[in-house]
Parts: sequence; C-alpha cells; structure tokens
Amino acid sequence: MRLLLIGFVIVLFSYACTDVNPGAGNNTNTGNNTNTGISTEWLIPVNSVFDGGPGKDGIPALENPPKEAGAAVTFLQDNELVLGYFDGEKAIAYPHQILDWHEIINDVHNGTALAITYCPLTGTGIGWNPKIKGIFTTFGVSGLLFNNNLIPYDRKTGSNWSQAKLECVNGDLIGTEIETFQLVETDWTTWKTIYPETSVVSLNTGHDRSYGSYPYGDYRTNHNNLIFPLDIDDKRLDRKERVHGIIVDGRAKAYRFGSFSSNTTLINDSFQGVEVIVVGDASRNFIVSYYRKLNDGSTPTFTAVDENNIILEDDQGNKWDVFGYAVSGPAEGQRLRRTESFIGYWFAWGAFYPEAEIYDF
Amino acid sequence: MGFSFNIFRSIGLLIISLLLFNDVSFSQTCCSGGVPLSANIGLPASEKGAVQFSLSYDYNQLKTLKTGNSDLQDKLRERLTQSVLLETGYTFSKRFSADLFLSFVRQERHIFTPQGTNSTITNGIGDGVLLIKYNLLPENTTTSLLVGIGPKIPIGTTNKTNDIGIALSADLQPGSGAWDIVYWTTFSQALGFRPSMSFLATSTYRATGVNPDYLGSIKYEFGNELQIITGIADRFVIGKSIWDPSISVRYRRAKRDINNGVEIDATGGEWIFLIPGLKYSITPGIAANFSMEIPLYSFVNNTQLTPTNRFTIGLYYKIYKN
Repeated sequence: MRLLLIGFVIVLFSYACTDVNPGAGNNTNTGNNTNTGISTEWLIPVNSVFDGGPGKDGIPALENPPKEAGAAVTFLQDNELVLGYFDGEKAIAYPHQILDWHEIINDVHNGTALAITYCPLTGTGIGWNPKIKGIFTTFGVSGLLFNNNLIPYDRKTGSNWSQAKLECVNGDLIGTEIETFQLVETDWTTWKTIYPETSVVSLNTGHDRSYGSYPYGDYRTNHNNLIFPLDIDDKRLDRKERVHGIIVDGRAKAYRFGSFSSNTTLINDSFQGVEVIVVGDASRNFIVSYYRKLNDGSTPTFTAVDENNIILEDDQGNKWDVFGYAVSGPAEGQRLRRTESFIGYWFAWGAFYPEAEIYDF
Repeated sequence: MGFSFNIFRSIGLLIISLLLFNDVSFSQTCCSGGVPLSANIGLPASEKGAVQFSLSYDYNQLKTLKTGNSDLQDKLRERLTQSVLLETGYTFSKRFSADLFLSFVRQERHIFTPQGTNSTITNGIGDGVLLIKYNLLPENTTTSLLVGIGPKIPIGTTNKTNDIGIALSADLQPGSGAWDIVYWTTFSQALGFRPSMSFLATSTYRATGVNPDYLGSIKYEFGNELQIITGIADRFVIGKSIWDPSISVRYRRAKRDINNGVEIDATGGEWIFLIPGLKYSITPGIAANFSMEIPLYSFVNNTQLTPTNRFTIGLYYKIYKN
C-alpha cells in the first residue's frame, strides 16, 4: 500500500515536471490542421507580436453561418454597428455583436465567397477575398495580435496575415497582398433603411456565446484601455475615435466623423496625388470614399444628396448609391472606383500607418 | 464552558483577521489555471524544532465556459495547470514558525477544432512564498489558531514564448512577475462530543503586486484574492492504519486583473467548491493525502473558463528534533 502510494505520486510528479522545451513553450498541432506555425520569417517585428490568450482557433471563426431576413431580426438594437455588404443585387449585414465573439466569418453571399474579418480591439472590419493565387481558402483566428490587431491565418497554407496591413506577414504566402471587398460600417437603423431586403447573420451560429454582451468591458470608450503594447502610439486623436482611413501607396489619411454634418456631406480631397471623394453622414453613421476619376477616365463633379441609398449625383446626370453603383443616368450599371479604405480606431491607423494624415486637422 | 469560550474567542479572532485582510472586492486572469498557492500554503502547528515537508501534486482542469453563473455549451477550449508544490516548515519556538513554499508549474492550453487540436504547453519554476507564522494559542491542546504573513516571491518564469518566439499571455506563464503579500490564518478546534473530530477553518488573502514589465512595457497585476476553507476532519483507526477523512468547503473570491491601470473585464469572480479529502498516516511522521474539488457554484465576470476537475495528492514528512 505504501509503495503503491509513493509510486503513484512519483509518476504524477514526473509527468508534471517533464520539461517540454526549456526557455520556450511548446506548440503542437494534431489532426489535419495544416498551420504548424513553424515559419520564423516575419514581415513585422516578431517581438511586437503577442499571444492574445485564447490561442489559435480559441476564438472560433464562423463558416457560412445561417442568415435570417432583416425584417424579422429582433436581436439588434437600432444603434448597433453592422458591417454591410452589397454586391449590386443582394445586401447582407454582419453584426458587430456576433463578430466581437468570432472575428472572422467565412461566407458565401449570392454565390460569392468572402471572408469578413473584424478585430474588436482595433475596431477594423474588412472584407477579404478568400481566393488567393487562384485557390480558395478560409481564414481562422490565429490567436496572435500585432499592435492589438487581428492576425488571421489561412487554412490552406497556415500562413499568418496582418488584417490592417492587408498582407501575409508569415508563412508560405509571405508578402502576398490580400484583395478586399468593400464593406460599409454603419448602424442597424441606417443599414435596414437603405437595404430593407437585407439578410443578417443569425445568432444560431452553432456556438453558445453571450451575443448581447460586449466581451471587453469599457474598451470601446476608455481611451486608456489598451490590452497589448503598441509600436507607435500616435496621440493626435483619442485612441478609440472611429475614423475612416484611406490607403494609397502604403500611406494613409484619416477622415473623422466630426468632419461630416448630420446630412450627407461630400469632401473633395486629394491624397498622394490622386483626387478622392469622401462621403459621410454623422447622423447616419457612415463614411465611404471613392476615386473621383471614373473607369472611363472622366472626372465628373459630384454633389452630395440625401435620398436614402443615393448619396451622390454628378454633373453628367448620374446618381450613385452608397456602394458606388450608378443607379440612374448615363452611367447606370457602372461603379465608382473604390479606395482601399476601412473604418477603425484611430490608434490602429497611427500604429500601422505612421504619420498618417488627418483631414482638416 | 471552557470549550465554548475558546471556540468563540478563536472564531472571533479569525473573523477579525479576515476583516483586516479583506478589502472591498476581489480575481484571476481570464482562463487562468493559476498556481494553487493560496489553497495549499500553511503547514500545521508543530513542536519546537520540528521540520516539516510537504510535497504535493496539483491537477487543475478548466473546461467549463461560463458567463456570470450560467454554463455555456462549449467544449472548444481546455486549460490545464499541473503543479508540483514543495513546502518546508521549521518551528522556531512554541509561537514562531516559518514555511517556505516552492512550485514547479506546467501550463497547458488545448483548442479542439474540426481541423485538429492546437496545444500550447509551458512549464517552469513558479513563484514561491515565505510565510512567517505566529501561534496565538500555543498552550491549548484542543484549539489552534495561527496567523501568518509573508511575501509571494516572483521567482517564477514570466517570459515564456511559443516555439517561434512569440510572447505568451500572463496566464500561460509559470510565474506572475510580481511581489504579493500573503495573509494567512488557520483555526482548528477539537469537538467536545468527539475529540478525534475537529473543525477547521483557513483563510488566505493575497494582496497582489504589479509585474512592471509584462510583455516588455505593460504593468500587469493579477486580481487580489481571498480564500476561505472551512470543514471538519475526523480520525479513524482501522487495524494498524490511521485514516483522516475530511470534508470542507472552499470559497474563493478574486478581483479583476489590472492591465496598465485598467481592469480587464473577463477576469475575476467567485467560486465555491466542495473538497472531500483523505489522509493516510504511513508512520507517525509520514502521511499521504488526497483531495479533490467539486465545483458547487461560480460566478465569473463576463465570460471565462472555470475549474471543472481538480485534485491534489501529496506526501507529508515530519522530523522531530527533540
């Protein structure tokens, strides 16, 4: 009896004391997971990449989740933010309250595959094209963060991507830039008013989460609340101010909601030598931006209009909607050239795009 | 009458100690297995010159995901903390003694996905505690009341990285990187109707310090923590064997962790466990013990993994130096 007890204790101690890898932790993957995380080359400083805590896939991405008709949705409050996508035919809303818990939704909308990537810590929501070098993939949450921002990984190669830098930063696809889809971030009231036929990702995600409750406390409004270190802490604006940023040739310019009135407002601007039009509405809680020059080379003069989904008209008699589609006029069916842009907390723009310009600042 | 006076006086002292050490509200980091310092420190009172050793193994599995006090139907993640705990005590006089507590910790994180299991494992030396204890009732043979205070010494590793050099989060580190102060009180009273049976109560309050360079630039503080364990133990002689079964309840309350001065929402909470235990005395100076924890109640802030299964097995050895 005594020997049995002592032997049992020794076996347990030995197991607990097994040194898996002195100085470093040990990561293992079993099963069919292709992301081994063994590549050591990074395009970002690896000592600024941190393990967020939940671990790889500890925040589960959604895979083509069920949708419901927007008219039947009761779980969204009017002022809740959604990421909206419209392909010219059908609209869909991806609510923040679901993305806060999943960060990535691999979806197929109206026959088009897309990955909605959203980082709750940087407030950045970007639509990614999951077709990379001709091959479709899906994305998962790596559990790693750079400047507090989501690092998705692609399930085909296991490569790690920087969401805000829009490129692969580690793995077989290192250096590859991601192609994006335009999303419009706005509140639920605005979205369902513009697109009453919209569908919405349902709460029946297959995961049991507290979707009505925000998982990060006062993070959205407390400017002192940053969870991980930043490489650059640009303090020109409050850290959590939501701004619309445009990226041209690797440089960024930020547009603040305060620059727009409570009616649809147009800003004609130039950045990095190109003319852009930035349209926003502080009360309807959206900002979008396009190049002024059309695909046919013309540069019409635009005017803001306030007709629900129509936000612009030009001197050639065209009317344009929030996604840049010409809905009437000679250019009907054409689309404005969208900028590479998205909304995010100011600190993320400051950290990822050093010395970003700020409009009217 | 004497029994009543003693027990009420002792309980009074215990309550005063708790009030002194308890501040407003109390935690552990999100999903942290946590090194079981507070639940294990404090060797029993002993004779002057006695040297005591306790070597134990602690297994703590967290796979119950909760929001508030509601279970979420989710088995995606598991956190496992296994610790080897060595405690050495020396009794300087009938009133003063000291314990030194050292730990070796293995932290595991497993994510179960349709594509496979992602695992992260770290291990290393954990933090230590030096506890100076004072026996308030050294002459009393039926009642024992000890108080103790000491530092939790941050000798544990806090810079563990994964296999490609990425720094791991605080709850996967074997150490905390912070000096804490540990306040400890224990009380036992033999029961008059059955002298072999005793009432036991232990409280531990950990006033946590700050790790000044978590991830290189962050000031990180685990939440202050209060634990109260209370229960009864009895002794049975079966043949030539001495067995001490016990049953106790552990209450744990922890404040939220603080990251650069800001509370982390999904940390901290309250837990209550039922702890059946059994000690087998191999010789008068050597004993083996086993206990397990059964979760009875928990309330976590926001959404967190909470303990699902836990057990401790250990050996105790005492040397008399008369």
